Amino acid sequence: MDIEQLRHELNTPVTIVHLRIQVLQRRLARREGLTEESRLWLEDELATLLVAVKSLGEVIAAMPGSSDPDQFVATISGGREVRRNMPDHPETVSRK
Amino acid sequence: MENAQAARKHIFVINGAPEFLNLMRDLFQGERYNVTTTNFVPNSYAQIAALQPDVLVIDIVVGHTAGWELLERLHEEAATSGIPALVISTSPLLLERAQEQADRYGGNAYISKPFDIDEMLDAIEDLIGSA
Repeated sequence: MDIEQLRHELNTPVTIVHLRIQVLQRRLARREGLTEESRLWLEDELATLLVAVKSLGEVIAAMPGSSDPDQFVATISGGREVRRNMPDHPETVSRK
Repeated sequence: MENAQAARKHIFVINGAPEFLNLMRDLFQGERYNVTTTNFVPNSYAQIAALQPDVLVIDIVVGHTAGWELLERLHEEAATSGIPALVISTSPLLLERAQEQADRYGGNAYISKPFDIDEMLDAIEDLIGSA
């Protein structure tokens, strides 16, 4: 497995865990009927998990790999199909 | 209650991963949005054109063309060209390329996964506000 593909494969589950923890934090903040002790314990546990998964995400982001989008996409996809449909090299950069 | 329901903004999420779609459904419903989720299927475009959501959240998936093709069509067709799109991907490099080609693909905002939910919600509110 190429390093860029590995990065992608790792990022996908990390993203799910990262987002799910945040969704749980938001739900917890709105949840009524919990004791203060239970709420604090859950908040601490979720915060610990979030820090851990963020650290993992940072490690994945720091993995060495290609910085060339064309090379990157070609490597990941086997090239032909995606490269055909990838945007051309831009002449202008715009952000709406 | 009916009026409140009607006033809710509608977010349409397109992504290839069922677990991600479930997550987005949970999130947006909790945030009082109406939400529709779909995998990349042949009738995704028709669904979006018919529903006219307020914002699209679309994933550019490494190794697949469906996101690019759908984005381009949405941008080209008059029925959907006005719907703002938040483009997300696990690949910053693909996002960079999509952003550079915004005139062709019509992306309006870009977020790399994993991301903070507040960041995404802020981007969505900006897109709704500017539409």
